[in-house]
Amino acid sequence: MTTLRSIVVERNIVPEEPDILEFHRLVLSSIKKYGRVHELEVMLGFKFKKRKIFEDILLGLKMLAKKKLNIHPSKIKEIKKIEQLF
Amino acid sequence: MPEIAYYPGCSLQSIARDINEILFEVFREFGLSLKEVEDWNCCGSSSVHNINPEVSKRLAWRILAKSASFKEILVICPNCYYRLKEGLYALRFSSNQEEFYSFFGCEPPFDIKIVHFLEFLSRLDWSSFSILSLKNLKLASYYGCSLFSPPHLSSEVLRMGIIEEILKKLGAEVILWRYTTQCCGTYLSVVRPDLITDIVSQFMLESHKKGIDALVTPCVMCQFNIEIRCKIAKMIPVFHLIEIVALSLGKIEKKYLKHHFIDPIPLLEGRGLI
Repeated sequence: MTTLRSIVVERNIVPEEPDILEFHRLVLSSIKKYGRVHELEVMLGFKFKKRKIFEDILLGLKMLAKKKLNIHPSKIKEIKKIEQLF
Repeated sequence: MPEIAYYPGCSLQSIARDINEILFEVFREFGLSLKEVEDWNCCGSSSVHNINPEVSKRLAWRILAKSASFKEILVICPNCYYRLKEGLYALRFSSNQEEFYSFFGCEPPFDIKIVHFLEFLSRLDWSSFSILSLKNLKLASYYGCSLFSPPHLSSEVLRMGIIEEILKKLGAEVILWRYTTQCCGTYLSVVRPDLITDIVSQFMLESHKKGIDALVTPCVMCQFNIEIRCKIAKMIPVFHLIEIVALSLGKIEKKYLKHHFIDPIPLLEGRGLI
């Protein structure tokens, strides 16, 4: 499966569910930027891009209230090293 | 207090922050202090692994390079566990050593051991701890789909039945059910919540049929996903295994349980456990 997915990405094939690939790309760019995933940015980024901002908005607010989402990203010190790995 | 290296992973710092706190508390009770791997990064699971396995491998390598001074690293997330093991496997059994050296300027830590917290729990001598028996609780395991794969990384210790053994040692009544290893769809939870709601609601219906009080999982993502996506009227809480261990060690407080999206407090109060 991993090989098939890699081929799809390398050849720019549009998958059956392009949103899933788009979501993966948002996660990847978050890791490249911070070294870790910033869930709030990824979730908001995806929902805005897909114009589904009200989908999961209550869930997002509950997650914030329960401190399950970091407002600020947790960035690692050696971020330059992470960029080299990409 | 002796130290043990610990790799938390992204979710233990965000959606599962409370599980992380409980883990530290439980290990203090075990007489061990968890020391986080310095300046750790994402292990490269899920999204990275799905679309760029090479980057995923290097992300795992950086964690191994950062942990080179330790003999073993404790990991709680099943996905992180396998990414780190996969990274180590790639170093041991293929010619990646030079690439590793070029990135991190050190020899790969070939002998380091990646230990899942379930392995740690299974080798504990529980008789040396004062245990509050969970005899009033009917619990079913939910392993999820990532703990036993892939086969080339299999462990002799991590196997079906390991959670049930621990739950029995803690005095709980263990119920067997059909969905214990069926994927809950965590990685599609943001993109396809409709699909995931159908899957996890099935879990809940089956739990009711079997008279299960709560599900117990070793995966923080599964715990979170099942609770947030279930939309049926009768829902049972999903515990992370470390919460159940903390409960039986008398180390769980109500404030630690507020993170749940299906409130477990009425169940535990009703059974006289908190």
